[in-house]
Amino acid sequence: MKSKNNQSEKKVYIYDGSYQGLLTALYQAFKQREVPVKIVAELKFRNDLFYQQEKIITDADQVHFFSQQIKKNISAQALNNIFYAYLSEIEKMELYIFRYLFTGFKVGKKIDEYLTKEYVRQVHDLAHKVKHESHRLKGLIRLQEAVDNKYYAAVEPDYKTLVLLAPHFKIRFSTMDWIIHDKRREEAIIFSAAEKEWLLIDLEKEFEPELSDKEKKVQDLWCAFFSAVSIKNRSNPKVQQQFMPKKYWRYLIEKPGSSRKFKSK
Amino acid sequence: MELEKKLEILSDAAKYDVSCSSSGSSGRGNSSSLGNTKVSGICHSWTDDGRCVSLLKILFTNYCIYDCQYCVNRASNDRPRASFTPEEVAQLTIDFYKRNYIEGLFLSSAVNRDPDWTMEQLLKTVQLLRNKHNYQGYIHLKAIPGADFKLIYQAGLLVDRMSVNIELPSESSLEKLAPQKKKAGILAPMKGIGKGIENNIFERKKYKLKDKFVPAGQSTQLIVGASPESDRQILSLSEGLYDHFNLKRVYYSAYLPVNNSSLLPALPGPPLKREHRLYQADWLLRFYGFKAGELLTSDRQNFDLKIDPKADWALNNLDKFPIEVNTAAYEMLLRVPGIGPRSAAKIVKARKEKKLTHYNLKKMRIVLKRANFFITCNGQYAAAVPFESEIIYDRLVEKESHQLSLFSNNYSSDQGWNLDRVD
Repeated sequence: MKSKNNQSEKKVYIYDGSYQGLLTALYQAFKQREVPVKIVAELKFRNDLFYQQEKIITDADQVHFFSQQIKKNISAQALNNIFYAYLSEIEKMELYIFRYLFTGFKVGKKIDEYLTKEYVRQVHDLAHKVKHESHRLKGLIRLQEAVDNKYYAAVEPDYKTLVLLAPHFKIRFSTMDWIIHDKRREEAIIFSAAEKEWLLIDLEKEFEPELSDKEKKVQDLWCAFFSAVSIKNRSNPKVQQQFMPKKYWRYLIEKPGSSRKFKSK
Repeated sequence: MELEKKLEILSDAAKYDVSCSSSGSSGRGNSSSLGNTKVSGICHSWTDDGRCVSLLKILFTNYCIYDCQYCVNRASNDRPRASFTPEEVAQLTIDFYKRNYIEGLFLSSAVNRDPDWTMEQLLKTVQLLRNKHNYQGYIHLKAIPGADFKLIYQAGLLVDRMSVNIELPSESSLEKLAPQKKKAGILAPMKGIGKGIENNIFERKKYKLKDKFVPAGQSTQLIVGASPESDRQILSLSEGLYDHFNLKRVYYSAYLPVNNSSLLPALPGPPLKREHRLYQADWLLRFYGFKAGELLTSDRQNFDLKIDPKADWALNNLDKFPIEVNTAAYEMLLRVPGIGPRSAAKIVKARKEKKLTHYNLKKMRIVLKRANFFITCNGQYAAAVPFESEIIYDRLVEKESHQLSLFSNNYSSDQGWNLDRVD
């Protein structure tokens, strides 16, 4: 490490916000034996007078090389963990990843046993949260049939989970054309049954497709089913909300709580 | 009748079936089929009573020739009746599945006309789904007791999970409350399916290409509180079913008074707490290495409703505690109240790097609320009470527990069902 006393040498790394960008930034830090005070995505960066700024230019070769190094010298699991932690987009996530890798290159695959270390826990926790939300969304996403036999779902996830959902829905709905739209990040995955490929595209928040004639009927059937399967004298809205937090209700078709209204009628 | 009305009647009639699991089957789908299965299972919604909705859970029909005392659909009950056609069920499943409302279909049925006819209808439905619609999502099918086993076997080659409800914890109770079902035979198809699964696994290993038979295993369900059996009998029955019939799951359903019958007990409300304790104990059997005989004995026939079975066991075996987290075996860590498989695995990992303290455990998000009374870290005991059974018990009991044990415990046989003598 270089001297830590010299203020002017303390650097903030600014990357483009992509996973590749982050890996490039991390690679540069290790290569130059520097400990940046911050690694931050361009969009989140606010000017800082105290530290020197270093713009990181994403470099595919470096990304590839660095990923291989992580796999070889730490573990494939570690590479996985940092990818998931990156998707959380939580503030300071970059520095936790940096320290995780820093110790990881010293101790190898045992890094995941260092649960008493704050940064290892943080990386694990963030990865866990992202995985958890992505698993939840695999169930909670609701597709609607649009005209031309295409299916559309809107969602506002806490984390950047679309890329994790794509492979899941690709196998499941491989005979359908569909779009899953992250309205918060204004992006979407789009899948074509003919091409059998998915793509991540930009899609503005306001996008709303026109629904098919049949759609409303199927939605009504689903709502009827949802109300009917609830056992009235075991009503337990607390548990319901624990598993299915209100933040996800907006894009559900069914109406939680509807069986109670149904009862009083 | 309109489809929506039918759906309301037949899902309302099916809701007392507990199982909604969609786990245990993986990777059915391919690039030209609709749907896939995931080994962990996926929940798609949660109803107002807090249960998960994973499958489209419906009855094929609720017209029933049987008159089982505890069942809403018994023949003598006056309630709206309906029947689907196989096409209707298949189309409904496809429509819901394509919108990601559900993980698959759970199709059960009352027995209309006779068991064979009913089973044929169920078989037709799954054939339509798999063959005509090329649907590869999850299917859980009820096998109808008394139906020709050939029909059940054929269906087994198409579905993921099958179940036969054992209904009550003893043969004598079944005879009393559901005499017609008793005759039809419940254990025989269960055993047949169990055998089929076993043979299929063997054959698939031997000859590479062979259709899977009930790959997600079979489950069953019984009603708790409609008959006088003790928790001990119920739990040893479950253990018997897991050990001898290769069951994946036994579900317990607190008896809801849906009918008025002189043969049934009058309860202030469904024994939900008791059901909960049985589920906890069931988990201890399947994932924590406990035996039914350790949890309950002939002196103690029922669970303490105020305290969970694991804490109860620990307090009755206080001589084995406190254990040292830095040295105890994984199996013993699992037996500490408040520590589950996840926490135990974390401890085993983390203690390789350094000796753990209470502070470390807390930071690793291991819940110490209950565990604290039963562990030491580096020889230190951190619970601020003397290490005595009564005192710890007082700290652990849950508040507000109104439900008391409802039945006396004078039953002779442990299992209530004779699992050995099945044709």
